[in-house]
Amino acid sequence: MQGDPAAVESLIGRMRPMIVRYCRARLGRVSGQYHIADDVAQEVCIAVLGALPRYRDMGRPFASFVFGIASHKIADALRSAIRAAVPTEDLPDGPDERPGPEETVVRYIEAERARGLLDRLPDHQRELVLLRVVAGLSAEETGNVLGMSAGAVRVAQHRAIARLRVMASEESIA
Amino acid sequence: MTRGRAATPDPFDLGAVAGSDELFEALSTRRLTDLTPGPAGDEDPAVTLLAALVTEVDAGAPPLPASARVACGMPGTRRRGVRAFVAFGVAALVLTSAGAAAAGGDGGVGALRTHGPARTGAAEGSNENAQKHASRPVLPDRRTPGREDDRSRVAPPPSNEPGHALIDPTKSHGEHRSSRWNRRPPGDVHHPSPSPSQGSPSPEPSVTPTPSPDAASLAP
Repeated sequence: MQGDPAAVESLIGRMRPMIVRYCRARLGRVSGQYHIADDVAQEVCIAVLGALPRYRDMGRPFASFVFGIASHKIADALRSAIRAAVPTEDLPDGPDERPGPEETVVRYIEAERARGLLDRLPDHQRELVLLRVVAGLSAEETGNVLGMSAGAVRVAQHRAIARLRVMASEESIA
Repeated sequence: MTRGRAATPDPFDLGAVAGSDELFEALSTRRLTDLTPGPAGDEDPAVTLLAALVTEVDAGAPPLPASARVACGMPGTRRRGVRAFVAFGVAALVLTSAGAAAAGGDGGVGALRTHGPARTGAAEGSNENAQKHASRPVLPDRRTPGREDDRSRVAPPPSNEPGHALIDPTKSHGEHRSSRWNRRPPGDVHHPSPSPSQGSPSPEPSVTPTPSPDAASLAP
């Protein structure tokens, strides 16, 4: 891969969608926008590219290397808590195919509730759910990233979804 | 009480674990229409919230690759296959070399302990030992101080004693003597001199068998 631009492009093309989703799920919207999360995802991609020459295959999966960088970048972003000016989009010339305001708000509220519940999970369960659901990894790949077997991932995700059900029920009752 | 149990269900309830895995698989592959209702028959609030999170995160994000499963290093089965192949090769090499050493060498323990290039050295060593054994007198010379001295000394070429041809070089020194005595045919009248203390190899008497008088009298 070293010195092969096509290989680097292919690698980033495969990893970036998952990184973007992971950062969005962790950071959420700021002022109704994902620009902070997308910026962090971009920084993660740049950091991965910068670290590629020093990367040595030590038997661990490459995805764990990438998501390790991503979690560090997210921690930095949360620590700094930068709230920069919100960029505004240009006014659309054609019809807007996106969901309407009501649907957007409902979805936004539900997503925020999901984030709140995920934050109450233990760290390893939260990471597992984010990798499995948001980043779209399989049980085997999630286990490779987290250093678990696929069976352990399945049991842990079962416990996590049961705990999420209980917490969601408690919230709805309250 | 029951709430704690519900939070950490029995991990060995395989049906529930498989059902949860199907839910996660549907969320992971974005098959949100395949999501089944919750255990109570109504909508699962946790799954609904996770689906909303997935939908919201996907909005405006670059699409996941067609094969969303990214290769995370070397898969375990492939690694196991490589390990099994290497282990099989090593085992085959060891078994082959040990078998060749046992077949090509003298069959002793020393030959089995050596592998590869050392095998020829072991075979040469065994040949040297055989020559030393063959050059040694059948009965030990009392003037020779010990075994180590015998090994370090350059042995003279073996004499032309007919009994030496019967010595099996793989046997130990004591076995040589016993085998030699045991292998002597019953009709052989030659008996070795019981006083080998002279040291110098004495010319052996003729070993030509002479017909016994009893046999001659029995002949017609």
